[in-house]
Amino acid sequence: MKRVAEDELIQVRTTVNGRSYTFSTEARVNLADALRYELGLLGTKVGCEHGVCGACTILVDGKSARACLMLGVQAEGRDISTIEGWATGKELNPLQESFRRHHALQCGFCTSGFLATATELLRENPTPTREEVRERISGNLCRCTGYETIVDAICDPEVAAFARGEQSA
Amino acid sequence: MNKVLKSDVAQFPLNAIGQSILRKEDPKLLTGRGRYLADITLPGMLHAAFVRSPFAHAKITHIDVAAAAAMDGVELVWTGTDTQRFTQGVRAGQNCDNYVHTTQPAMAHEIVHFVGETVAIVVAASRRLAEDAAELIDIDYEELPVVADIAEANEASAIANAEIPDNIIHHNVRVAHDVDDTFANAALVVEDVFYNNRVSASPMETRGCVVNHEWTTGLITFWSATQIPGFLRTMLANFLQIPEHTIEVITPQVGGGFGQKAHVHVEELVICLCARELSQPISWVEDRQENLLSATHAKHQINTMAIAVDNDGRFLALKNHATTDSGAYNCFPWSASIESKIGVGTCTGVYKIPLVRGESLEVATNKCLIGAYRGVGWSAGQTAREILIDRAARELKLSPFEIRRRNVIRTEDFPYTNATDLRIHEGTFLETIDVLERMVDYENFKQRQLDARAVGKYIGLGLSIFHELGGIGTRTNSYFGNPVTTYDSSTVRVDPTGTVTVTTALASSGQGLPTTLAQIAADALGVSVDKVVIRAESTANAYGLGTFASRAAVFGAGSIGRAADVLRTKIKQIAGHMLEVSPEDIVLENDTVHVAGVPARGMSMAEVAGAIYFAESAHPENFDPTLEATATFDPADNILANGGHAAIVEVDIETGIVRIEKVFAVEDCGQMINPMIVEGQMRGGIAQAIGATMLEELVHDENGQLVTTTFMDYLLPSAVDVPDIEIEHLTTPSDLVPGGIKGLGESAMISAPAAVAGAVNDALACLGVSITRGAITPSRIFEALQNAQT
Amino acid sequence: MKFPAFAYARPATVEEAVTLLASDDEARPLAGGQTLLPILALRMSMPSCLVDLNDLEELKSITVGDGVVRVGAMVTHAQNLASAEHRTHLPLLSAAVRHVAHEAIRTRGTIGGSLAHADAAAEMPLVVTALEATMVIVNQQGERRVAASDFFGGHFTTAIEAGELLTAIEFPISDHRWAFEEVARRPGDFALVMAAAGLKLNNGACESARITLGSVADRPLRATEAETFLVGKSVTAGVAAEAAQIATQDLKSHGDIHASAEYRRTVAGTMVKRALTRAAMEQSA
Repeated sequence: MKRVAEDELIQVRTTVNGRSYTFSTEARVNLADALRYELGLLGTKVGCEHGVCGACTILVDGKSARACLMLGVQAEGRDISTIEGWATGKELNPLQESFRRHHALQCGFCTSGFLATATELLRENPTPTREEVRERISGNLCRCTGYETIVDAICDPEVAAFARGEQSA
Repeated sequence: MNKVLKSDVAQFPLNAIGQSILRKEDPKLLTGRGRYLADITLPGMLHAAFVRSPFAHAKITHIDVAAAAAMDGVELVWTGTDTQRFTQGVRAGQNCDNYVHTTQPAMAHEIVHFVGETVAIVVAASRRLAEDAAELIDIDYEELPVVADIAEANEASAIANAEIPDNIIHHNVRVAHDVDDTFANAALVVEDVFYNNRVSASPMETRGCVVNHEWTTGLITFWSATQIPGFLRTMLANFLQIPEHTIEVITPQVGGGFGQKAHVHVEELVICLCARELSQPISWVEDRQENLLSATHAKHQINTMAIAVDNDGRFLALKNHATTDSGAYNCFPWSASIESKIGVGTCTGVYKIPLVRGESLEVATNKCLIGAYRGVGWSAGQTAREILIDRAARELKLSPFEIRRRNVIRTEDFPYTNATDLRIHEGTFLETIDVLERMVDYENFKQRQLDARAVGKYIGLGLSIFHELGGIGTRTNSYFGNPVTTYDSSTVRVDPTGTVTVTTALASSGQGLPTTLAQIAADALGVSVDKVVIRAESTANAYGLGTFASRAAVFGAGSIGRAADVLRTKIKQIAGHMLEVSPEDIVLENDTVHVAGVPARGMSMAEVAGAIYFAESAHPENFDPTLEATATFDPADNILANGGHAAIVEVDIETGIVRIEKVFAVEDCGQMINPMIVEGQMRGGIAQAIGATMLEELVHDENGQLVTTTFMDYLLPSAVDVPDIEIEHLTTPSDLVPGGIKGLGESAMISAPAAVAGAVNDALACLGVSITRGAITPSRIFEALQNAQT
Repeated sequence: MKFPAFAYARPATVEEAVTLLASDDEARPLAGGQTLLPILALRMSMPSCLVDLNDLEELKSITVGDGVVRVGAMVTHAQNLASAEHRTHLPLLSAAVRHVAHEAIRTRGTIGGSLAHADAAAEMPLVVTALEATMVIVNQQGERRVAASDFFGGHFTTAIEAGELLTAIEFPISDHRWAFEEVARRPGDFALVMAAAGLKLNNGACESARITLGSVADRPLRATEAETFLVGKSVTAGVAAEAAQIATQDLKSHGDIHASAEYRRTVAGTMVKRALTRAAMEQSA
């Protein structure tokens, strides 16, 4: 792409949760704001806007990324997955169910980021140890739960069964 | 007497209460469908950005907003001079003797008093444009001498805020027994100066509001990420001179508050004024840097404490002088006295200490104001006292459990009025100690500690036993020297189809109130939880102060219980009439209304409600069919929850790195409404305690400049910093609250910091090291070890 | 906290990228963005244009040959962490990259971006210094190579000139056995102090040693005196402690809100001691 001036709009084509989107944005709009305000996908939360808190973590081409540390224009051609895409219709997926069952969320603001991080981890390893889970989620901050129930939720056998199924699928 | 009425305790059988019912709000939050403040978009909505003071103390000599105002997309640029035309700002203090009230202007208009204070605002088509324009505002400052800390404030070479003579906001001698002889003759005196670091509640969602003013009707809709919607509305009316009935405060999903969102913030006044000026909706979503700079800071105290102990380890007397580094203004509504004045009021904790000298001092500095954060006022003094108790135990070669057992207030002592005049009528202090000792397996720990030392490893155990004045109402406020009436109300309606709608001002910021309050209402009316909805999102609903100070469960249970009582009486009356039995023989359970002991003789709640709403023929004589009642609640006395924490840590003495191996927690919050949520509150509070003790510190330099303005420097605990936590419960139901419920949200932040800090001290005590300054960083441990060696 | 306005370009070739950079002194390359974008969010920098390198596939590979591992500048930390080649040939890189931030940062953050930013508390500058890597820098005239020891010019300062682009890092495969030690406030944070030690032993005696310290100065430091001291010695606990003492005795470190200068100096010694001890154990295992 040639140089585009700062006030010019750039057209972006991308896929989010399996659906194709086209939107126009200034280069300086970060991906979190683009998802939220250009596409109306408000489930991705913004907690610090400098890459530390992890609230805005999403999956880009299957890999976790901070949506506040990518530009909206960098969504071009990517396959993005956000919290809006993880339930099947009106049915929570087993990881979401497990979060509920284990009381792994309170205010809910950090939750989509944790689900993204956990989803990526479980695809790599459906049965991580508690230590592996703690290490992996240490880039996501939660101010409510004290983390233990989040670890419980990710290590739940029903989640492992689901993750193994996803892996073999 | 009004007072007695408000504290009537409704009686009903418990069914849903006590069950770990999954939260009603979770499916929404787990699918990204919860709508928080930043998710609100309105047609024509504008966005605000503030310009904040870069100096801790300076005179504004010149402001030029022309370039900013001329920018494309900018709708309005205002400075303090503009807002001053409509409001003097936030006037705050405490209604007691010798209290210096302060006025924080909506935006500084002559002098700035701390780094981060509001100086100007830009309202523009987008936040990014507002930020661009804010950079074009040209402001000249003439720097003034800065009061950067308490020591400087005492020297009085400079004044932090001209409203506050000698930099003293308030000085209070809570109790002044003659303790000198006792200290002079005591077998042992343990004493030290404890520095409690300044921290931030740091909810994951920052502050913010969206305001719409409809000029044709004069109605203002004010969406706020707040814990106190009802009170916020009253105070917006008060500070802005806007008729209260024209304001509706709506609370969307709130992403954590922890006390920080239980204030009236000046930014809220400014946004409201700008929205009225433009008659266009305005959104202000604070960024993280603003939050760290200017949302209330917390817990910054210095405690000088001493305990006189006899040879058997009995506490004879305690001295406590607590100073708060209060910042430049009083916060509203709590005032600067929310820290050390409360701390001194609880300085003897759960122990029998006959003689006390306790005084508090609130000192003004050129920093952000100190406000409420979970366990406010208590944490610093609790930490000081419990560390000193551990030290006394080591000196006397007693176990930390035994020394506490010897001093704790026991059941046979109730009611016990302590030296600070608190009447203690309930609590399981001794049992807490016994349970914690068993959980820790103390004998085993002692052996492990010795074995570890032999191979150059240092592990330590810290212990903290607490009680908490939860459910803070009028009685508790007045105990703390703040004569304010506080109650909350709920409106309970049985709908025509027999479902139950409860409205209240007890907004949830993650505590699970939509679920726990529904459990209460369900039991109060004998219906299932899924037949109840809790509506707390609008001030169009019942009035109340809001959710803070471990009070929502207590005030919710009390007010829902009392309102439901009125409805229960009516339902029994009509059901008795229809079934031709005495109303006393009617019971409400399992969504039915029937004759006691004869479930077959009855009808569904829907049938009864339908008869009340739609079938006058079924009504008894003179029956008032209003199936809606509003009631307030204010407990008749202090509500005392209690418990304790223990922590085991390992310190690497070469690097100062501390690994927290395990934390144990015991809680007696009376009857639990929802044990899952109780444990969630406990774990979350412990994580915050670990953060505040080991990691988090708002650091200012000698010019009052905040150095820690991002999450790269202000370090919140992550999943690897918080261990698994072992929990046990004790249950002493309160007889002052329906269901026997007490509050608990704050407990872990009151007590767990003491256990964690105590454990580090215990690990290093054998090296002659004590750590009395937080945050306990590797570098500070290293320094303490070096000092001990020389 | 929104980014200031900037122009944007996403070149398809290195040549195009270098042309864009050469045409505008205020333009900045955008690699993974995990450091640059927070700086922009805080408005601590206002580049005129971001030249996005993410389409430059040629900079995203790891190749091994002729005793050298060549790592493209746009190789992410996650790629380096997962690389089997690194575990075999550059175990120090594998060990150190584990300490870089968190997975969601490592998936985007790149080795080239980290080196070009040159934060003295970051792991990658220490790794290239310890392994005596060569930086490959491209400009409109062609390619030039800079040794790691000449690359870092102080805090946030490197040998990369305006209009130039770091394209690859060439690591000579080392026959030393390596160990890495770090202390941080929380795992994933920037290091308070770190050290890498490499040992080549012959019949239990040290034939060659490499000791590098990080986060104690404005750039990674080689402790050459301590390295010389170790030659010919058996690396016992006592010898490691002595080497650590030599490595840190003249260190003038800096204090900040996270750790005092004295802490950094002393604990740097501890890191060296621990790294040497582990490297010696690795060898005998």
